[in-house]
This record gives sequence, structure tokens and C-alpha cells, in this order.
Amino acid sequence: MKKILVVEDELAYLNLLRNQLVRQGYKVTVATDGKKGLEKARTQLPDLILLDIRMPVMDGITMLELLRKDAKTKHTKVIMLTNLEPDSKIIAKVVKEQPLYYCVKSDVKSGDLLAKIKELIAG
Amino acid sequence: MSKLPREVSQESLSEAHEKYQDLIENLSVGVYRNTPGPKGHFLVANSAIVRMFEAKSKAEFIKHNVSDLYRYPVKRKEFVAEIMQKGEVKNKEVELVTLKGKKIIGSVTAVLKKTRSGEIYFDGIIEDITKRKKMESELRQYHDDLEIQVRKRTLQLQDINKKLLGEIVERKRTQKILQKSNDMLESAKQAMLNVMEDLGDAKVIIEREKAKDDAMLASIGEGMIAVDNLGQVILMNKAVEEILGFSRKDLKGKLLTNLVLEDEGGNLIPLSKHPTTMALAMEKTVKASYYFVRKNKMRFPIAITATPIKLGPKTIGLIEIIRDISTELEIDKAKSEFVSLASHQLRTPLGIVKWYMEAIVSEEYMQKAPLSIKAYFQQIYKSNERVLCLVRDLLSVSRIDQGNVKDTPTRVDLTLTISEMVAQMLILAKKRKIGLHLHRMPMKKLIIKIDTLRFHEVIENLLSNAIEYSKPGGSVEVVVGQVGDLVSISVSDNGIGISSADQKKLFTKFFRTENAVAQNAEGSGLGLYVVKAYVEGWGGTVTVKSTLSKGSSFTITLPIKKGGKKI
Repeated sequence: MKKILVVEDELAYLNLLRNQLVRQGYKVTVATDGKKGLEKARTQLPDLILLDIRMPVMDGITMLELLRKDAKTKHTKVIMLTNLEPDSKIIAKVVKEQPLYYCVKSDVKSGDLLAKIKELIAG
Repeated sequence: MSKLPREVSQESLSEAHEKYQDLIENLSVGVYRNTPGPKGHFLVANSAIVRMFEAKSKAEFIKHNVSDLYRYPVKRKEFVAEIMQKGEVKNKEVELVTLKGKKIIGSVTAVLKKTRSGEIYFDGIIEDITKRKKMESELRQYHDDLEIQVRKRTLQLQDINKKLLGEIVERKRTQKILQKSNDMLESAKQAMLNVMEDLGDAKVIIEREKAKDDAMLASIGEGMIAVDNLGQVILMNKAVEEILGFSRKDLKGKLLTNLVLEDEGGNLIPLSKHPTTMALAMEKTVKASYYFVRKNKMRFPIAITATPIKLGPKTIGLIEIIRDISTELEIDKAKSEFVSLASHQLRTPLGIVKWYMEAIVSEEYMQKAPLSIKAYFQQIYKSNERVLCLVRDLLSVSRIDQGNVKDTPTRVDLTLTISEMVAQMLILAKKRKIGLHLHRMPMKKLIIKIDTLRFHEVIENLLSNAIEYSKPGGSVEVVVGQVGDLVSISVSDNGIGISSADQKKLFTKFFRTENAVAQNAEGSGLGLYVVKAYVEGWGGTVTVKSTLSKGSSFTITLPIKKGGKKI
């Protein structure tokens, strides 16, 4: 069973994503800030991380940087899942740290997102 | 032993004689007895006279003739004659000479005496008055000199007096002449004053105008610099000093093209691109925003507007307005950041609603729900999408304003892309009973490099506008064509149209025509603003032709070879 880590501080999103992913047959773990997310990523080594950007304690971009510095999580697949419109600074970071996908939550249908996750986790 | 009376008398006489001898011997004045005659012999002489005439002894003195002692022998004769005649001479000044040849003056008082036997002799006293005479003479000389001086001075004074008198006369005459000319001048002055008064009025007006100009120049917050046709600074206001950190002295007469400007990345702006150079060369107003680095290394953005000053057809210089736009940029940035943050905050709940709605609708029991319930859900979903769309538009605008549009051009078959979009829009068009047709002028493929997402945004905006503002039964025609190196895409409708006054404001932010609001209350007024910003960013153009109530036609052109560039 593929493991997915969802890092998201907004509980409405978190719960919906968890339910939908579980229903799709994934093993799901969750974290509500970047710091907790980083710990879970290191200990549980998920196949895919859904990562929000604006979060308390540690934001998603910082967590992504730290993930990429750690040999264990260096190649972990990451989907940035946010409502933040990427500005040039975010783009620069994202290009450097190479998540697989950058997705603006409100622009994408949840069904399309689930399809994308399936595609990426298989590939 | 007693003496005889005669002896006694003889003794006393001899004693008296001795006393007498003693007396004259010790007198400080010369005492003598001598004989008359041209030469004269001394019979008696005391020590004082011997000393007076510088003789070695009385014996030597007596050997000399009396006449030997006279400086002028003739005077001896006169002296003798006088004493013979008067019997005496009193205080007679006589010029004498000593045995050693020293000239002296003596004062002589003498009496004529006779012996019993009738022989004549002179008894006299003589006083050396040489010193006294000398002093007297000096005194007299001094007195005379003084007299002469006084006389001379008097003469001079008289002379001056005469001259002064002459001058007074002359002056009086001059004064009369002056008085006359003065009178003439006075009348000339009066005339002059009248003229001056007129001039003064004009001057006051000019000065008032100048003061006004100066005050205006000083109070303008913008820096204002006037340069001549070579770009040399002629004039500047106070604000320039504050903005650039240079004093008037630093800049006056200097070439304004020496002002070092940088672009955002810190690269120097070459002389040929300098606003001063460009405005002088093109003789047109040039506006530019660059960065300027002050003496204190402070770097800040400035906006420069260089406007030519024309004298007839000739450009004689420039007026440059310099503005520190850091505050503006900061505000812009803050505004954009605010919009960006607000968008995020708005999107989160809207996004949650969106996904939960999607989740509900995809549930099995929703499939079985009555149609009305499905329609309600559809309506909620649509409204939510509309707000999300508005948020997206706001974000686009914010990014355009911030100059922060990311452009990732990819190769796109234009005709294919547009036909796909037209196909998508057909659903909406059908719903509104509007025909939508695509006309492809070149039948071959039309490949351009463009940012796909934003190109979609542009075409979608134009198509949805055309459908939205058409009347039922109307039609929308989309024409894709190629003219040289340009592709043109036009979207025409026969809808409500836009007045020519509104056409001017059509591409500004949040502008919506009254007709558009009446037709469709939902629009954000941002669509065409975004279209224009993107298309112009790609080096293209957007134009509108419209007649009120007849319809509108929007045409965009895009360069084929040119890739996307930063907006």
C-alpha cells in the first residue's frame, strides 16, 4: 500500500483529502505544520507528500528545502498544494527544489487532483 | 722805637697803595692805565686783563702797544679822539684781538687823567663781553629768523587768502551756473520720475510674476531641471537638491547626461538611452523610470520626464521633471502583497466549498437526488466559481501592476488552440442562443511561442465577453488570420456595442459600461485590462471597433517570431 503524507494546517482540507485518499486505498498520515511534517517524512518515508505552503511554525517551502537536504527524503515525490499564487520568489524555490507538481487548490477540481495523484504515485 | 711823622705818613701811604694795588689786582674785570697816542703804552695792567688777552705774563703784556690789541687800528684812533674830547668813554664796545689771535669783544669804560706835570693818561676797565655778545647775536639772529619766518608765513597766508578770495568768487560763479543746471536737471528728473513710475508699475508686475514663478518652482515637490540644447543644466529648483543629493553648485553648467542612472538590476544606462539624450535627439517628451544612486550610496527609483522646450521649430533645451518614486513603488508593492495575501485568504474558504461540493456531487446518493436539488447545488457551485474567478482576475491585475507576470512561452498551434476554446465556449453560446463560428484564414498550421495559460485567459475573456454582451439570436464570429509576421485574432459580435466615449476607458481597471452592467451584473471589469496588459506584454496590440447597439469587434495581433517577454 502506497503511503501519502498530507501536510496541511487547514483542517477542512486535511479531513477531506484524508477521507478521499483513504477511500482510494492509500495509507494516509497527516501533519498540521512544516516541522511536524518534516519529522513524519523522515520517520515514515512516504511515497508522496501533499504539501501546503502557508502554515504556522514552519512553512511548506522551508520544509521542502530541508527535505531536499536530507539524503533519506531527497527524492521523495512532493506535490505543492496551496492557495498561494506563486510569485517569482516561490517559483525560484520551487524550480530549485523540484516538487513534482504545483497546484492551486481553488483552481483544480478535487477529482482532477486525485487523478493526478494516482498518475504521479504510479510513475 | 717811635717813628717820625713823615715816616709814619710815608708808611701809611705806602700801605694804602699796596691795598689799592691788591684790590685792582684781584678784580675779575680788566683794569689798566695807558698812554694816548696812536700806539699807546700800558702803564698799569691787572691779572684779569693779562688773562683776557692770553699773555704769558704781565711783563709780556705790557711790552705790547695798545693798538696791537685792536682788531681794526683805526678804531683806536677813534677811541682816543672820543676820550680826548669827552674826557671819558662809557661801556664802549670795542672789537679786539688777543695776543694769540683770538677775536674778542670788550666793553671799555675809561677816563682821561693828567699828571701834575700835565702828561695825559687813560685809566680804564675792560670786560670781555664776547660770550654775551655772541648770545645776544644768536638771540637776535633767532629773533630775526623768527621775524623772517613770520613775515614769510604772513606773506603765504596773504597769498592763500588772496587765492581763497579768488576761489570764493569763482565758486559763487560756479554755484550760480550749478543752480541753473540744477534747475534744468530737476525738471528732467521730474520727467524721468514720471517715466520711472510707469516702468516701476511694469517692474512690480514682472517681479510679482517672477516671485510667483519662483514660489511655484520652489514649492513643486518634483525636482525640476532646465537644460540647454547641449544638456547643460541652466536652472533647477530646491527639490532637485533634495532628491538627487547634489547642490545647485554641483550641477549648474554640468551635463545632465552625466547623471548616472541604473536599471533595476544595477546595470548602467548607456548615454544613448539617457532620457536627456533621447529627448534632445528625438525632440519628443521622454518618460523613463530608473534607479539613481546618491552620493551616500543610497539607491532609489526615480521617474524622469524630459520635455523639449521649443522656440519655433528649434529645440533649445529641455525641462526635466524628476520624481523620487520609492514611496509609490513601496505602496504598489504593499498593495500587490495585500491583494496576493487577500486572494489567498479568500481562496481558502472558497476552495474548501468547491472541493466539498465536488465531493458531495460525486457521492452516489447525489446521483439519485431530485433534479431541483441537483440544480440548487449547481447554482451554489457556479456562484462559488464566480467568486474564485474574480479572485483570479484580481490576482492577475495585481501581478500586472507589480510587473511580476511569469511568462513561460511554449510552442502552440494557434488555430488548433483557438478551435478547442471555441468548442468549449459553444456550450455557453448555445445556452444563450448565440451562434459561435470560427473562420481560419490560413488553413495550414500556425505555430507561435506563447504562454499557454495566459493566452487561454485572453481568448476566453474575449469570447465570453462577446457571448455575454450579445442578444439572443445573435452571432459571434472568430477570425484567425496572418498578416506578414503578425497573426491577428478578431472576435466580433452584433451585440449591445460600446459608445466611443466608453471605448477610451474600456481597457482600464474595473471599468464597465452602463450597458454592460445592465446586461450582466456579474462582470469584474478586469477582463479587458488583463487582455491588453498581456497582449502588449507579448509585443502585440489590441484594438476595438464598435457601434452602440450594433455590435463590437475586438482584434488582437501578435508577432509570430517573437517569443514572450516579461511584462
